[in-house]
Amino acid sequence: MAEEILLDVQHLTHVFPLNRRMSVRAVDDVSFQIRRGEIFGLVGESGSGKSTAARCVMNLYRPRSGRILYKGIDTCDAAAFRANRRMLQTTRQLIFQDTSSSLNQRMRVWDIITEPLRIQRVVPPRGSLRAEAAFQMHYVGLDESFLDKYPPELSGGQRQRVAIARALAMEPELLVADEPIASLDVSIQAQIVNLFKHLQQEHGFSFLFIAHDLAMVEFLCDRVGVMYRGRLVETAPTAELFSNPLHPYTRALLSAIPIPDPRRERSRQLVTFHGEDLPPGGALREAGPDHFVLRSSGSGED
Amino acid sequence: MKERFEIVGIRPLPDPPVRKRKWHEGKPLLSAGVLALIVLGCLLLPLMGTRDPSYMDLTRCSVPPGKAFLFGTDAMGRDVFSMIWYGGRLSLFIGVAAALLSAAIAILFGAASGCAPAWLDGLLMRLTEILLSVPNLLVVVLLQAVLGKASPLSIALVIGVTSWTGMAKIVRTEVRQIRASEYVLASRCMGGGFFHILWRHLTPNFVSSIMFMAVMNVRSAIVAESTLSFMGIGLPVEVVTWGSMLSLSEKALLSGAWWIILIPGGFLVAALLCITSLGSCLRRNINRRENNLY
Repeated sequence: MAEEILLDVQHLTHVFPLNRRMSVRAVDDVSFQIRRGEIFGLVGESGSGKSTAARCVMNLYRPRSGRILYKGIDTCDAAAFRANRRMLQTTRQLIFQDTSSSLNQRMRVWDIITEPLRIQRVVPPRGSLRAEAAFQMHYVGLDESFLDKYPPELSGGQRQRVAIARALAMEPELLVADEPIASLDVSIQAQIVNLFKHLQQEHGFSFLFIAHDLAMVEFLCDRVGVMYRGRLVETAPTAELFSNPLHPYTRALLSAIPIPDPRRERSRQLVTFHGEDLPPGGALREAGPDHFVLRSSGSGED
Repeated sequence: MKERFEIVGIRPLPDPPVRKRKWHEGKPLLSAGVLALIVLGCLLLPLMGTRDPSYMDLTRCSVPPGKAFLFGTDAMGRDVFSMIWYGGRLSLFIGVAAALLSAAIAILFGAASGCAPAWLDGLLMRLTEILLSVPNLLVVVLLQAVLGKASPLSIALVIGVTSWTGMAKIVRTEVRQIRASEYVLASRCMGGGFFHILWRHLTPNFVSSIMFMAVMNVRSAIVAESTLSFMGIGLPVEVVTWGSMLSLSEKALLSGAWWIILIPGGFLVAALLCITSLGSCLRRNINRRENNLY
């Protein structure tokens, strides 16, 4: 590949201990790469480990094993992290799902947006912090009358725009969005996804987009990874994945997309997939150009 | 066929009478006024023609209130009227200083414990429980003995250092809840340090729950100072506070000099009642504001 690889996740495993004996493997041997300027979608059902993987990428969790290379720096290594702390904290930003808890209710909108600038003591490029906040808000489609409002006074879509403006204030190179549209209405979802697409074209940041809405992923992402029970079962370019799904779970997931046409919707075939069908072990094998599928080590090509 | 009912129009209903809340409704005006009077009196005491409160005129001891001495004189011939204002100065200073000190310790300790890993949190909380279980008076006497000669500052220090445990537990519980919220995670991702998060995210969100306790701590610090002085282990008799004035009261009881007990006692009770009423009003308001947020 000619393009530079910005984020390289290698054999990431994260385990949540439940008690002394039991534990949950939330993320199990997951490897994927994000190239510079690419939108990578991570889909899967609830509890499949998408968010945990994202939080490991953002250093919020310490993975049990595996490496996460960001620009060639192993962010899980404490010494390497400390040496590049400022770069890691400014060039990677995170957007959460629940806007009512990801914005501090007691801070004004412009305070929230400029918080990263304050923390890193960045001299605001547009004069004052307030002007910077106004600029970022304009960028995400909010006008200046919102500057002095508190988050509870805004609607869900407006709050998500504020959260996006906060993440963009640092001009990040990698944006991690953990189900940023799941808590919004459908009409607002479309607006936010369009905003993401527009911003990505404008800024050119790399984007890890986590969602369970397949239509949105198909619209937005360049490449998609499908997760199931903590494992990455298939990754491929979006068009390839949606036209030629290879893994049985991917087929089941894609067959669950409703079709907005009652006649065709009635004849839609639902593929079912059970957890027992996923054999333990196995590794991602290349099945086509840039298309990888999880295959157990025993079985051959089918 | 004729319709049995027809709509001929909508009768405009008169607007329900909106009673505008007067600005003073629901506010503890009386308490604020009395407290302001006391505080102003203490601050402006040179303008009130007071005498030197520590001047002992043994020829005129235990004079009942009258023209010459508005509130009478005590058993050592000191002017009670002047002593009230000078003493109030020190008493209020000790109360506020001790409350500020205890609030600062409680916030730092509670936040540190709330942000710490589980084992350290457990250790710190057991430590506060040990402190909480030792009788407060014992610790105060011990610390006072270590510090040596009592001064208003040392009394405030000792009271502040011994009264933060309850508040620290509240802070710690609140911090445990808040620190898991996503805006704290986001702030940490951006590189916000402990003090940044404490100041910008945690404190604004838990300050309402300790505000009442902080105001009440002013009250309990004044009470503690009075108690100590009354028992003779606080400030010496020549340093005038409301508490040390009361420390003379057992002798006054025997001699029937009611003014030596009732006047400082009355001021003390009035100040405490006002602070309590302000504190509970503050709590009501904060609770209401929080409910409106959602």
